[in-house]
Amino acid sequence: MLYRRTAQVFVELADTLVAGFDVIDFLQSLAERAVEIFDVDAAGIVLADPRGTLTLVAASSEEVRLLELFQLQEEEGPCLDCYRSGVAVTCADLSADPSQWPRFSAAARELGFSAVHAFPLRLRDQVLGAIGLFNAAPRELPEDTTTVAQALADVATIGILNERTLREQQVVTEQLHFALNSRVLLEQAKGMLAERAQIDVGQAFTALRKYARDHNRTLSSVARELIDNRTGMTDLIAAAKLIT
Amino acid sequence: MEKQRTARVWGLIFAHARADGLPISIDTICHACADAFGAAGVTIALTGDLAGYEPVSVTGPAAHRLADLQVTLGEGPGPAALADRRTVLVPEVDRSETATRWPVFAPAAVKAGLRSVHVFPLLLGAIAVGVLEISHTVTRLLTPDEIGDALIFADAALLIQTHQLVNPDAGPTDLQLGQVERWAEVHQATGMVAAQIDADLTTAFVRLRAHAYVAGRSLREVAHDVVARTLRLEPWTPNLESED
Repeated sequence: MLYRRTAQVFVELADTLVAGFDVIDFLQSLAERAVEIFDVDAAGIVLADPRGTLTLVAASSEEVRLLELFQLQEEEGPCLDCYRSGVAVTCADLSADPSQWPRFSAAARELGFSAVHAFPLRLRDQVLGAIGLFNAAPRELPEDTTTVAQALADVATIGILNERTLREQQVVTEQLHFALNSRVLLEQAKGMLAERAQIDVGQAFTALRKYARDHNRTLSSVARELIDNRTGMTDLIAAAKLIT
Repeated sequence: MEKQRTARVWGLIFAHARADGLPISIDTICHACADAFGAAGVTIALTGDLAGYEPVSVTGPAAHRLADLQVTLGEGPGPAALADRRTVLVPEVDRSETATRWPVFAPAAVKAGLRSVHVFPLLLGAIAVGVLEISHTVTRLLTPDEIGDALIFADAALLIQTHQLVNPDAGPTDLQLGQVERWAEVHQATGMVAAQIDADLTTAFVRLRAHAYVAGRSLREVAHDVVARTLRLEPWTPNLESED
């Protein structure tokens, strides 16, 4: 069952790696699908900013405190350890050893998470970031799940680099920077829509996503148009007001 | 790690400003960057209403030639980075791919004695105010560490250009000064403020930072209040047109 669902997702993701590809759309789908495939309660993807910090680029839910939990890991947590070591970091029960990541564990448990698993986004000997999976109940990941999760992380790497053959380090740097900046632009658009439609930023994300899908457009292009056209996109504003 | 990097780079900028006996400006950043990289030339070009690519600070004769070429031809890695809002790294100028991409610029740059150019946009989501170009007389790709530093120099130029009010008593470890915030709330708040004051994102970002500075609070705190809707910014000037 795990394999069949996974195979479907890989096919879907492969479909997105074509013309008109949007890295944010891709990573967003990947985070949402990870929740389904691995039967976890939340998933997120962090990338290493070339300046030297980990930054969240996509999450299965835009719940503010979940986003903060990922962002917190620029200082400590399983995603940071995974990024630094380049190997999977799993913790079946955060309460077993609260001293491992005191701030992260406290914040995660406050949000109702007990187990966390992080897999590296690797390219040869370089680590680009990590995908983090959270469970409400304590949970050990079975070995086959671990294998598939790493495969999914590898697919994420391919998507970010968006290149069939990677010869050049410079391309890696350029793509990474581009992906990170695309997320910043999405946050700015969320804020702008939240204000124009008088909704909260989480709802603004839902509205942007729905609009992009309904109009067969990428999330980034919708975000961009909203920012560039401050009085336009009235259909999006009207739809967003109905979200509440 | 990023905080140390930020503090170190700003330390170089402050040292230059002190040596010159002048407040920090785009020129200070340009010169500090040229020293840090042992570069043949560094150019900071801004984008404005009148010109898409306008060099405002240039060090070294080769970089002057490069900047003139790009202004005249409208082609080259600088204008490309601005147009695509992407980092453009050209480790080997005299390679056929470079000549194919920029047929006039590439041979002219080689003739001017330059062999590598690294361009970093002054970029924060949809906010793009210019580019930082670092050129060398030898073929080389900047190391990941150098790229991290270059991005902090680019952040510094973005902050100065968006009217960062530099407190004369501030030091390079004053993080309020150095960091271009990567917390999602800051970007969301920027988008919200843009809608509140009916301005573009750059203006909204300036307003948000000015508000934080004047109130003596951190940008994150102010952004949090904006997103929580306990703080609203009003348009700069009253609308006088209604009196006509």
